[in-house]
Parts: sequence; structure tokens; C-alpha cells
Amino acid sequence: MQNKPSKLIPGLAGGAFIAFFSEFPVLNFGNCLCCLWVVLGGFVGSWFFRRNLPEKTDMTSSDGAVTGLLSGVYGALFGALLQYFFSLIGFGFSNTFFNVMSDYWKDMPREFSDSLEQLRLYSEYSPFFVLVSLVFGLIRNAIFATAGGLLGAALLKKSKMPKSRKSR
Amino acid sequence: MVKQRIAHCFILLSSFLFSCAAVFPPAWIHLGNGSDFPATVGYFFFSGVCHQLPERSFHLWGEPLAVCARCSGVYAGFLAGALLFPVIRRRLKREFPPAWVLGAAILPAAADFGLARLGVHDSGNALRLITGLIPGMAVSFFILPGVYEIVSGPSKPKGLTCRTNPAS
Repeated sequence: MQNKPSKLIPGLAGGAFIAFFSEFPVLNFGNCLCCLWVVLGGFVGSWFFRRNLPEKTDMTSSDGAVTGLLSGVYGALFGALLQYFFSLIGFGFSNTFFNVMSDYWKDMPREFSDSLEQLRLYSEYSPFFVLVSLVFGLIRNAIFATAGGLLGAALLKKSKMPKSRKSR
Repeated sequence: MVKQRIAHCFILLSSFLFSCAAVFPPAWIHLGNGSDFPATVGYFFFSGVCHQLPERSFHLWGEPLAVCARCSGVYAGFLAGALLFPVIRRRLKREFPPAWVLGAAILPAAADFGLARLGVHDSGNALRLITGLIPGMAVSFFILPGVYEIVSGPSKPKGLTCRTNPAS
């Protein structure tokens, strides 16, 4: 049994990366490129984990996936806090969403526009909305950061193993 | 091998469902089920992943999809890559493709995005779709071997098989 370092610290590092870049105004547009910051956050978590590994120990894909998943979960939690802070000073991500929807979608159906207005009201007054955003963030981050962690494991492996005969 | 097939089916199904989720909001508006609130929530879910600009998105029944043309390409590419992977895997000499494959796959999308930003050319939705398909497919070739490794354990490098002493 190989002794491997804890995945908690790499997960926290990846989570901090995700939260900062995903919630910071202007920088958060990077996520518009297929969740770039979230995928990179999972990758960063994997990189930190790989850096802490002992000399003769190699990283497995499950290490990468778990580190990526942890990065995503922490990223969503830290991100919710940052989002709350930025929404207090008028730079919330939800504001960006509503502005993009209403500014660019000119021929929006009337019923949809009413629903959007309803959601905007929820976002302003309801803590339930904060919870929904957090749950959505957790789902999104879990998917994309785990993918980033798996990519990290694939790219940062010390030895690129040839295919085993059994798996053919 | 059975575990790998189950994992492969799971990845195929989940990526198909995720792609379908992007089609859900316009489909819901089209069906006209009274309130458009579920469609709004659907758009809001994907707002963390994509800019959702209607002029850069494909439209279904007159309404934009929940993700832009490039993101649609990435999801479709991932699904296509996951479908093709068992065939391509037999021809691969190593478990994971080399890192440059990922870099080369991202390059067309990055070039298209950069050139459009600089005003050198105006990329249409068809080009966005194609430049999304390529990295989506490439990413699946890195993710799926990782998932296979998780379900069936890491493969051993050739020549490093553990020999037991017959005397013991």
C-alpha cells in the first residue's frame, strides 16, 4: 500500500483558484469558454497533488478525479461566499446573467420575459435563490472540475504507461 | 472489461443527458406549458458555463439553445469521441494520448476566438461548432482512459510484472 499525501490541501488550492477566477468581475468571463476556470481549477488541484507525491509514487486517475472533485466542491462553496460579497457591491454574477439576457435577446417571448423578471425578483430578495445558485454551482463544478482533475492526472503522470495486454 | 463497459455506458448516457439539458429550455418554451419558469431556470443553470449570446447560438423553434454554438460543439464532440473511443483505442499504442494532441485540438478554437476578437474575421456559428467539436472529442480521449483506469485499476508497465519466488 503506497502512502499518498492528503488531497485536502490540493483540493482547497484548486477550489480557491476556481472561486477567485469564477467570481471576480471581468475575469469570470473566462468561464464562458466552457467553464475554463473550473476545468483549470481541477487541473491546478491535480498539479498540487502531483507536486506533493513522494519520488517513486505515481499519480493515478482516481487521485486526479478525487482532487478535481474536491476542488470543484470547495470552489462552489468559496464561490458562493464571494458571489454574495460581490452582489452586495452590485457586481453579482446573477446581475450579469439578467443583463445579458435582457440586452441581447431582443425578440424574447413575453412569457419568458415574465419568468425572467420573476427570477430577477427572487434573486434580489430570496435566500432560497442563493441556495439554488450554490446547488447549481456544485453540480457544474463537480462535473467540470472532475474532468479537469482527470485531465491533470493524464497529463502529469510521471510514467505514461503502455497499454496492458489484459485491457485489450 | 465488464466494469469498463458499464463505465463507458455511464459516461455516454450522462454526456448525452447533459447535452439534452441544453436543448431543454427552448423545447419547454416551444411546448408552452403555461409558465416558462423551468426554461428560465434551465438557462440560468448554463449561464455559469457559457455566455449564451443568442446571435452566437443555434436556435430551436425560434429560441436559442442554453449554450452557444462552440459549447454545443464541445458537448457534441465529447459525445462523439466517447462513441468512437472503443474503436480508436484498439489502434492506440499507449493508454493516454500525448499532451500535444490536446494542445493541437484547442488551437483552432483559440485561433478562431482570437482572430474574431481582433476583428480579422467574423466566425459564423458553423465554424464555432467545428472548432468546438475538435477539443470536445480530444478531451474524451483523455477522460475515458482515466475512467477505465479508475474502474479496473492502473495498468502495469511492460517488463515490470511482479514475479513470485517459486520456492516461497
